[in-house]
Amino acid sequence: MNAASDPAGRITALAGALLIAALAVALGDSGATLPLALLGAGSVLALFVLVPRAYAHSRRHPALLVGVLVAALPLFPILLFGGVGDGRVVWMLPNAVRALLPLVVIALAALGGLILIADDLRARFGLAQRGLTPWQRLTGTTDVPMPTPWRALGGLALVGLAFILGLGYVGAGSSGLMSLALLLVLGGGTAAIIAVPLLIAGLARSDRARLTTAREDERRRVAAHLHDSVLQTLALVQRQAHDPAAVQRLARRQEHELRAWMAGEVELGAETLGAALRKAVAEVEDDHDATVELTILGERALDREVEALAAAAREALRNAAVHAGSPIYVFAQVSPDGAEVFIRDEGPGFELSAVPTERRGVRDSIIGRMRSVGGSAVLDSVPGEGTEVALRIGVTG
Amino acid sequence: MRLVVVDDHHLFRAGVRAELAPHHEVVGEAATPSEALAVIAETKPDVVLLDVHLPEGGGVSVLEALPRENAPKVLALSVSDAAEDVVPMIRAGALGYVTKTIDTTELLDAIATVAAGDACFSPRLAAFVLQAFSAPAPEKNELESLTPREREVLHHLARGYAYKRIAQRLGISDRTVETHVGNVLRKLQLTSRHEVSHWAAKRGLVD
Repeated sequence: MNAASDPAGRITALAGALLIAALAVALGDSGATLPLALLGAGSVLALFVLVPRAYAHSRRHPALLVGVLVAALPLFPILLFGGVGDGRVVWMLPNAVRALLPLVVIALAALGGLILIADDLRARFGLAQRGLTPWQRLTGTTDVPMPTPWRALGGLALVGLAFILGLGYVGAGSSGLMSLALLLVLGGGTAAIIAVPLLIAGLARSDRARLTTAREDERRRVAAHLHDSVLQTLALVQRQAHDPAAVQRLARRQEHELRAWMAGEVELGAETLGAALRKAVAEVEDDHDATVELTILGERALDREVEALAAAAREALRNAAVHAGSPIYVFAQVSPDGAEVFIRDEGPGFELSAVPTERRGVRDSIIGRMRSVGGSAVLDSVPGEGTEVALRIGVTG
Repeated sequence: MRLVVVDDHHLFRAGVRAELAPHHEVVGEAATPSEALAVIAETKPDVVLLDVHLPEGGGVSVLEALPRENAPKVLALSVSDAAEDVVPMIRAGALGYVTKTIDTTELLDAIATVAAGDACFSPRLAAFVLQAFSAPAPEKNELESLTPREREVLHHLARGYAYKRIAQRLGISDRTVETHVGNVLRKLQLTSRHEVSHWAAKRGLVD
């Protein structure tokens, strides 16, 4: 994400710029309406964009709080000495508010700048994790172009302007308080020097923490799944050890479930051809105690055509299990343009023309179903050698 | 026939040994690639049953370290049905791949096929190989792509046809089918590293 495609960054910069502009105009010529308008616009943006972003950032990167403190530094002399540079006393509330308001605005503008700098740093840390050197992180590489750091530059400009304005405001009309200004510069500089490494460390730490949390979540998810499925089945297997057929069935069903889970189908909601075929195979193996060898190349989401294909395949599979028995081979090949499924058994075989019309299973549920979606079903049966049903939709190789 | 079983699961080795004992002599077992190489060098078996998933580098590392001369024939065994596990084993020199859920008769057939120096393609392996060759590679030359007939044979294997039935359907001899499969195997082992990595990258196997 670069600055140009990042509206939040642009609004942050705009809010800061408006605030600075308002103050600059106001400090130069008080009482005009232009600064009020700018201030209004800037404040609205600041309230709805800057403050929430600052809150989110400081939660994610606690080091940013140090930056906020730097931005608020000009407030301290007022709180400490009870007045601004020209000796006005501001303990009276209206006066205090009037005197503090510009400083709050300055602090907000500086905060905007700091957020922009933090955004830029985070983008560069993303690159750091990809093994780029610090210099490459600044300039980018041919593979990973890093645009000119507009966000960081804009942020620096905002912070700098806010700082200068703050100094100017606090020290306005008093040359005797140069020492205070110097103190502020030194304090701000020191704080910045402390803040930047802290900020960087905070960024790196929070990224690491996120990674660790993600790993831990994943481990828990896997453990929970294994507990519900595999361990459960193993317990059942131990209880039914005297019944080999039951053990075999349990083991086979668990194997199917585990493979489907590993293929990510459970999370996908079983809305793919592969998932539909696996389900059909598991059902047939359970219901007819058959062994089916299923191979799937490629994957495709279920639409009307693919649903018809899966339903026809299920029907062919059931026929094979009932009339031929094990082994049954199912091979599915999916390309972007089409899909084909072959269901083959090594049973007695039959002549399609010899199947009485009242037994419409093959005609309607396989051939008819495929034709209705513009696909095809070809039956290839050799008496004594077995039957293969080839189902196709779209263009297949 | 003299066999060595390489698998890191003790129970699986014991099971295979018991299953095969009436037919073949299991002369050695190993749980890691280094053990496997030592046992193979010592016992000089005819066929090695090699698990894909092993500690310290997996079955592929065993295949790569086997001597060029007089190496035993290798049949890969795995619970995995993932192409990224299976295809590298074949590329590294295994003559066949079967899943661990295979029944004893089929396993004996596979061992016999491999011992004779022929490729043993289960339907699933045939499908994976078909897929490996279907990946487009710009600099693929004729030596590295399949002929239509080879493709047809592989497709039949993926659909579960035995060599004999494929020969009948295509009107060729059993021996010709075997030759086609052997050629496919050779081409798979010949394919350039680049092509396989291209294929792997396309499937999101490497980043």
